[in-house]
Amino acid sequence: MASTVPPLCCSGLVAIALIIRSRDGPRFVFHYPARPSAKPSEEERLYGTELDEEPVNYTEDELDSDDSDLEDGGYSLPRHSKIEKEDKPARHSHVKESELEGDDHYDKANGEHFVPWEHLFEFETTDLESILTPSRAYHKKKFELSLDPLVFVTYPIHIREDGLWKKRKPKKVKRSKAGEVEAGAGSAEPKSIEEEMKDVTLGEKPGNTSEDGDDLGGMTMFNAVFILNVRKGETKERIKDIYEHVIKKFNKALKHAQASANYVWKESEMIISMKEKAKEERRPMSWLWNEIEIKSTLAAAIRDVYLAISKNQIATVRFAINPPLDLSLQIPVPNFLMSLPSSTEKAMPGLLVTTANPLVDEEGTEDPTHLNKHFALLLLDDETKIVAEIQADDTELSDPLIECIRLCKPTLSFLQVAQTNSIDINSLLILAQHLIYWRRAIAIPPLHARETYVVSPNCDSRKLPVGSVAWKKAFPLAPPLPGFLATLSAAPRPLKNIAPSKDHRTTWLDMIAWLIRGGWVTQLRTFGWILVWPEIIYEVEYQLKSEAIERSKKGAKSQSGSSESQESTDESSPEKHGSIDPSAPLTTEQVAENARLERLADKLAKEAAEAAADFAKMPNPVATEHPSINNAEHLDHIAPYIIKDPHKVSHEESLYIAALGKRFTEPKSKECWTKFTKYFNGCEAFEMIALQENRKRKETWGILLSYNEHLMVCKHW
Amino acid sequence: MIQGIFFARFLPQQGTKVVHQSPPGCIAPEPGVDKPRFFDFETMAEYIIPRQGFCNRFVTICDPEDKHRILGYPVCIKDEKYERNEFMFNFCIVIGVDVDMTPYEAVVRRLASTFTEMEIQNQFLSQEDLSTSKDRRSIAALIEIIKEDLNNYNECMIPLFPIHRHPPPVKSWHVPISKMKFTEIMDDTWDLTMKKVIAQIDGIKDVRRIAHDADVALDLTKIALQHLLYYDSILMLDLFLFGNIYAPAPEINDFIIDKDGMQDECSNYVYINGPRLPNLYLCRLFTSLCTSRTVKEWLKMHLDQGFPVLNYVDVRRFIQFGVIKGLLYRIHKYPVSSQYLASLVTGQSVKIEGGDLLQNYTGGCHCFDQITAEKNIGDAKIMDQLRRFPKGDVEIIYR
Repeated sequence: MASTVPPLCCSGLVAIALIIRSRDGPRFVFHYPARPSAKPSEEERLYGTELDEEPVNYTEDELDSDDSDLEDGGYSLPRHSKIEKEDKPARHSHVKESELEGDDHYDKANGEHFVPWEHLFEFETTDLESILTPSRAYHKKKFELSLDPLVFVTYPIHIREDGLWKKRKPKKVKRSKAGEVEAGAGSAEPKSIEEEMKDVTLGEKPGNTSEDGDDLGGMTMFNAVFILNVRKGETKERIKDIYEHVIKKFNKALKHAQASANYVWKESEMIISMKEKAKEERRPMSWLWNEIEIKSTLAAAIRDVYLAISKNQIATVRFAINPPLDLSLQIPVPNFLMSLPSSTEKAMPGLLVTTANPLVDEEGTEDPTHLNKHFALLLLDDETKIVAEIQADDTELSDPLIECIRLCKPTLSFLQVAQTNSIDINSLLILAQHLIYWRRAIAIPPLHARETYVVSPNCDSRKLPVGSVAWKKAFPLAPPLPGFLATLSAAPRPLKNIAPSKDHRTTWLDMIAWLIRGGWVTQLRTFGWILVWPEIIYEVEYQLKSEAIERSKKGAKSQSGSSESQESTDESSPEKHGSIDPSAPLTTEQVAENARLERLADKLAKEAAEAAADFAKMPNPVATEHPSINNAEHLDHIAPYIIKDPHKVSHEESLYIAALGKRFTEPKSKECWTKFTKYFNGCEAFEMIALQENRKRKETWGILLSYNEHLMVCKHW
Repeated sequence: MIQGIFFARFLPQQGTKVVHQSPPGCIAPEPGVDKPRFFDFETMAEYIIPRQGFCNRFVTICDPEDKHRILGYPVCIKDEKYERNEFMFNFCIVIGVDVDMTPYEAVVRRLASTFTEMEIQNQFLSQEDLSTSKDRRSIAALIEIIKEDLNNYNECMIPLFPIHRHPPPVKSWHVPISKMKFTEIMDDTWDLTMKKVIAQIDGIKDVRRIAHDADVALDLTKIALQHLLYYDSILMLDLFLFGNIYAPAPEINDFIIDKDGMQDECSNYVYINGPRLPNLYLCRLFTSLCTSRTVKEWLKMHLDQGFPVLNYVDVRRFIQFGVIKGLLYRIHKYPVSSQYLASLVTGQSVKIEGGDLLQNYTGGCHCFDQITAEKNIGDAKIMDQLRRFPKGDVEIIYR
């Protein structure tokens, strides 16, 4: 497969450290990688949708120079010139080891023993362990300390005031499987898909007595600290992402393991003693780290989390407690873009662009927890490979997930899959969401030969050389990749018009699936708004006027008969209490008031008469065959009108829609008009209407075509 | 907005103490002030005056409630004249956690360096209590002034420059458009090269043309434009030609629903050739652009339908409006040679027949605009050159 999820910029994670506080005070237990680099992660210098990488014409120094003249106490970090590749930490080659800088012990000029692992970045671990064991005020809270240029982020866990790691529960209460890890997630947070996905899967809970008889070591807190180096300006978002999705979850999982098996303390004790022994024996750091990673599952877990998260991949770790605790962590990445990055925004080449957001409910409102049932599942990798991986995971979800993969096709909506296989749609959607969240699939509008697919303006052409080879392998008989993309891009038309014959359609849909997966193409979709032509506007206007005149005629009649009642209502005013004698002669004010009222009535009558006369002069509305080309003189002054959102229409707009509805002669068009109008808001693609209304695609397009004159249509992705 | 500012010292007998603060009582309790404090100072003290190993650098810490961020630059001056041979202090600024801290970083650094200098010269900080001299302003008054000036005028000893992101690189085929009237702000102190470059910015010329017409080297022109981009005083567009293709982006919806009065804005900008037409025409013009139509073909289509667009609308301005507002995006043409791609995979250089001039542009990442600017040849000439490649080798992807 050419590509799965396109690599986004790195997370900025440069190291992870584990620190505890025990009866001996704070202890720096372990950090990974052994000799981290403090350099911020290299990032691509592409912007917008451009592909041309210009040779960098400014240096790092210039980049950071914005405040250099203001900076007096500037210093530079001692940077290791040789930094080992961290990819395969467990297998250092022996030749390299001896060359590693900062790997060996030596005696300083003052006779002090230099221990390589007692220094991290430019700090002493004895300093770090004290500043990174925050007080109880930070218990289960975000701790964010920056020591320029590094940021230390963590979620410190303290022992409970009663000296236990978890609440003592009445024995009879069965604990939920997910344990405290999830319970601690905090109910105040909005439950999103991610939260509902089980990050932690535990086997059956045994009688939980493991801490009995164990040396608890007087550990009062622990803290897995994530050390980041992110570019200024993006710090806040980066920290928020990694904190919510990784740091918090990792520390909560540790707390669970500590509470149920005294895991953190036991592992820490072991690592600390290994370090002490190695210090005495003056072992090189690389040797010691190798040993620690082999012996300690916690150290190995820290390593695995670092390796995956620093590259923005999914980390899967297991804490060896009984039952083992499995944990999967990731910083979620977007799997598509709704709009192109602007020319001043960082590029994300290769990421699919489409407005087809699968996370909307039936009403079309965005809802991150709701996968739309009219979408289809597109696997991001080879099906057999994904199935094998899921089988290897071997969780309670494995079998249902594999079944879901087997049934779902990129050409079938979830609803169609559920109906044809008579399975519950909601379970299917949950499984699909799981696959999407764990980056194994995306949801797209079902593929169909009638739809049009175009080259994505965000495709990563830098991958064309590799992509072409992979394409050739996947579709040996198809035209070469550049040629196929050229065809799709030159003149967009429905796939069936490009495919050589009907027999080829299945293959061609497979090809499109491959291309969407790699972000090469996207669906060109159709959007529309209701366009009201002057003829319709006039017709409604005329109707409204005639009604108004009718009303005013009636009104005039009733008014002439009600002058008395008018007065009586006047008398109900507070003045009445002044006990005014109705037969008493009118005061001058009252005379004036009466005269004024009369004048008003006269004026109204006159106006009504004028309006009636004007109305009589108006030509009767005529419904022509094609309102769009009706250039009758009386329509000249009226501009055509667009209804922006049929969900929120004014009184007049609703009359326009009704008037339009009367124009359609085809019974089907007439019948569907009121149902379809809601889709004409410029946001709902016409391509989805057939699925949403459960109609045949061809028939739906026929109906839409009959509305053509009254729609303004635009095509984009 | 600075919520608070304070000066903390490490006192050998009492530990870390707040010496001065503004507003009163915001950090440490103060007699007569009954307002809630921002956070518990005792919890935060170890990060305000940290161990020596962490001093003399920019340090920030968020409070446990994650509401406030303290920005500081703890300083440790070593000298035998001090008790314990060292003097430690920190001038800190407190802002909300969601406030962008980058502009304040320079302030904190400057406070640290200035007061360090003053302390080294005449023990301004350490001898504060002893000094009775009247010509010295008290530190309390100073931090009050600093806070007020920064909040009210965005500057004090140093201006609070907004830190912009580094702008994207300037390409020679881009067309700069000015966002402000340079003639009104330029004066004799401006850099000569900058003035020459600015004089050529007209919204039509591409960077290469500007360099040429201004008689400035291309590199320098790019640097000058990069500067203008940094201060957001120009923006970059593509070179408008009637053979270009533009397609509507999803943002076109904003125009149709007339968000922010966009339709009238557009109408003011483009109807310069004749009478104004109803805004609906603008909507139709935008929505009828598509991925396979050049501007020329699009004009012809409207002409055939009885709408002579050019009689009313300045088409260049119309397209530019769409691009600037993100309603449209340019579809570029990228030549791709299969042979060249194959050579990229193997890493072996090839010499494609007929590809002398353009071979290196056929990897799918270089658009016609770039070739035009760098090779000084137009569309037709590029096509001629591409025809010299072996038959069927070159495809053109519209992206």
